[in-house]
Amino acid sequence: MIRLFYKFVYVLKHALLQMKRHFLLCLSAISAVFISLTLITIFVIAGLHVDHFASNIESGVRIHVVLQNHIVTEEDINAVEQDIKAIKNVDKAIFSDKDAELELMIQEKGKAFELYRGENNPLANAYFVTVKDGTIIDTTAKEIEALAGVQSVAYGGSTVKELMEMLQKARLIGYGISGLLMFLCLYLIYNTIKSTIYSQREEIKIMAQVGATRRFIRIPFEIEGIFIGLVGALAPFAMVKWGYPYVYNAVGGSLFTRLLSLIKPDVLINQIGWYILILGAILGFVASFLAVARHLYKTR
Amino acid sequence: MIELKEVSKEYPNGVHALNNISLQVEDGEFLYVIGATGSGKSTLIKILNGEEVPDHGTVMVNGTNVGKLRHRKVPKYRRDIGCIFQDYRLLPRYTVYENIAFALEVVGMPRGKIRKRVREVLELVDLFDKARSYPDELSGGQQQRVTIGRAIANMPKVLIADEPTGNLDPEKSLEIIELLEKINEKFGTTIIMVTHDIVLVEKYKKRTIVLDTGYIVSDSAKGGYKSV
Repeated sequence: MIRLFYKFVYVLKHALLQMKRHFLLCLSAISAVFISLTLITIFVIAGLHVDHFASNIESGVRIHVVLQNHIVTEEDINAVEQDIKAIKNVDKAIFSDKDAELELMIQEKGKAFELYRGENNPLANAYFVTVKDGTIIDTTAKEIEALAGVQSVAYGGSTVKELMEMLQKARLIGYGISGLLMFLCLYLIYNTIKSTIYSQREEIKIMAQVGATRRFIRIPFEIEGIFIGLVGALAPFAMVKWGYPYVYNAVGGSLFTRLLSLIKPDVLINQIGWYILILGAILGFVASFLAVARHLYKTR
Repeated sequence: MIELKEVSKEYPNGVHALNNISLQVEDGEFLYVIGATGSGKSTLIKILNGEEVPDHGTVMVNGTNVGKLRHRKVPKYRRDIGCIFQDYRLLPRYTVYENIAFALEVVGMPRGKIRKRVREVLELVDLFDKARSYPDELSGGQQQRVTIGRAIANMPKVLIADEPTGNLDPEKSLEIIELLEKINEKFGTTIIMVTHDIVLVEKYKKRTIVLDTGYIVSDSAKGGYKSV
């Protein structure tokens, strides 16, 4: 047990010595990791926001379902509501009676319509339906339109659908680029450790010759990789932890409209902040593990 | 005890480095292995320290079948045999102290014990005042003494020396051989020394084995170059 403890201490010592000796190499790897992790973070933040905007917009998109004029009794109205709610993609259906409809119309089109208040109201009862998945809002609207008792449906039309599809694409591209950058990051650390191993190959041979186990030789390189990954991840982490709240407060929590509200800083730090550090460490470990496995043990 | 039974080794390029060699070395023995370049001396050493595996035959070192040693057991085995090389093979960026300490760190010896043991070793190889020097600040003879210090730090039962005086002038060579003799006598360490140095073999007579194209052509207990 004591031996194991001391071995751990020595391994740590050698890792630090190694990094001190390859300080510049380490530094270049750290900066490379820093840049790629920063980009990954930016893309992930962007991706999360697209998601966030999309769900905001989705919840904002409503189908205006106007019922036929003869649907006036509570019984009939309820029957139509049940039919609407039975459609899979329907999230909520909020009733709006014909008086409320008229008030909306007055709001939109002007005071001239005030004349129709009361008995003269020609409008029909209606529903505002929100959907779960905005990308198939058109089929949902058609399904509703086909129901008995429904006179017409109206929604943003194809523009909404296109917007949703565009957001979906943007999100995919963002995540795709993040994935590629992760590979780049892995490759950069891998190469650094590889060149460290290469520049130390004679020493490694000597170490093995005086009885150092593979693990004893390997672990310092792995610690070095984890260190490079972690330090490289510090700046992007700081960006999420301190930079993002700054931006958030500067723009007042949303871009242009409330529909494009930003993710709250504390939510974001929980969503990705800590993962950046973990990702850095894991990338560092995996890269050095691969480099060591590939280049360390060629002889007995 | 070291025992080789009908050991053969052929390299992939077709060179028969060792042919059916049998050899027995008792504990505490000091043995020279001499022979021309390409006679199989280095292969013999590589087989003894576990770097190469024989094609045929068995190699037993203190009860360990070296040829059958699993890959990951090799490091542990090497701790029980010290190795000295012609080109010293010191860690260039470690001080003399750290070089010797390294051999003890790999076995997980506590720091305090390492300090004590390295001091003892430095005293033995007479390099106490050079503890903080780096290998490239030392002469060849001093570097070789560091190598010897590192090799004996773990108190191995066997010491294998591959032309330890090959890069040294005659005077320094004598220093090294006297140090090895001291280790051999004081600790009863078995020493197998490969050498080209006729003067040494002649002056410090010990059991001498002559290798030629992979065969043992002479094994003289009397020693000395002329007797073989």
